[in-house]
Amino acid sequence: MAGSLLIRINVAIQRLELAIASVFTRRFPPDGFCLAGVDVQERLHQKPAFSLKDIVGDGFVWAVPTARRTIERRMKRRFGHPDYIWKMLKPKTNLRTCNVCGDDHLPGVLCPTCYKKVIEETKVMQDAIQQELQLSPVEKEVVVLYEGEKDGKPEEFFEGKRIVEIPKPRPAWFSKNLLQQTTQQPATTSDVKPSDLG
Amino acid sequence: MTLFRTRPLLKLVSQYQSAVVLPAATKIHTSAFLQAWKPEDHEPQKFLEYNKKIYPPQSPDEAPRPAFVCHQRSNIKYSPWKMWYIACLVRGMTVDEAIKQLKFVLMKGAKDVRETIEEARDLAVKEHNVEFASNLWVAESFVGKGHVVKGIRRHGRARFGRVEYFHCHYFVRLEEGKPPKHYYQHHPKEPHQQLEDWLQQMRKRKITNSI
Repeated sequence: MAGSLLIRINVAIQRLELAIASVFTRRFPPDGFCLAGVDVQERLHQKPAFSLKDIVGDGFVWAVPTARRTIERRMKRRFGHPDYIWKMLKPKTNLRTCNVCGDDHLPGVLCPTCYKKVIEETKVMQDAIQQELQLSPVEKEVVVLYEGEKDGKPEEFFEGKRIVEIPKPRPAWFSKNLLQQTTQQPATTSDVKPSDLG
Repeated sequence: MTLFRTRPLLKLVSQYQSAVVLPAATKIHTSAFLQAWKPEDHEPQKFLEYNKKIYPPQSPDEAPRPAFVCHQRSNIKYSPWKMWYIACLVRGMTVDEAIKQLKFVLMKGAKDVRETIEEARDLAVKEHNVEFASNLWVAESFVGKGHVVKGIRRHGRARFGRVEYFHCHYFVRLEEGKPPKHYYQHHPKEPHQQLEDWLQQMRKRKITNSI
């Protein structure tokens, strides 16, 4: 009977100790037991709610601008700088006008519209020559004649030459004088024949 | 049990459909429906409304209002931010000069801009009472964002990126007459104007609290 009483007293004392300990760990002791002059922070508020930000950090706000782009940066990006790279297009002041057709072109270049005409005409001549000669070897000189040019010349004129006829009139810009050979026999007389100047 | 027989009723309706329903249908404004179903085909309308405005007759002492034409080309497959450079080049030029310069711009959008200006010039002569086609200058030239097609592309390590295919609208307004010497307000001043401004500033000075 005394033993159980002692045990009961021990248990009661332990419980009292636990109660006292809980008062001091979980919360401050009541006002009467607090020291004067010491700040009491009533931790009545709970811990901050758990949010994903704790795990992920600022992960969901990656790759997003954090500051406003200043007007200087915007203008630098759009216009560049006149001393470094000027991004705006500048009108070209060195364009030339063709005297023949009136179209404009860059300097150092033949007028593209006129040259295109020449290319087309050359292709027509080449096709006609290929059709005429086909795969036979070129042993004689080849002469290309347009409409109405064969009749004006005598037969001996075309003795050592192969004739290719194109059934269309000669273009106005295609001078006959262009077909002069670069390698020519030395002149016998000093007279200049003003022929074939077209 | 229906009070009316539906089949004869439908026949009756179909008979009169051509007479009654169609005129009413043509009066319905359908552009809202088209925009809802196919927003990519929607073209901007507001700029061309300026062409339709009819001005009141001018009094003889008023300065003559120059003729103008507004024209646009919609949904050009080109980036609007790149097209902006071409639009800026052409501002304030005569149409002939603008077309000539655009021939030598090595950018994809230059072709569309040149064609638009040529069309606008033809429209001006045909419909907007402009006498000489060469007497026009580019008063306004700007770009708007058009339809955007979005797609996905794969990068390395199974990362994905967004791809956007931009279209742009190009707007141009041609005005009759000679272009102004300076298109923008902030232009460098003439020397005599600078001198006058300096003199004015000097004369404006005052000793504080004096008469």
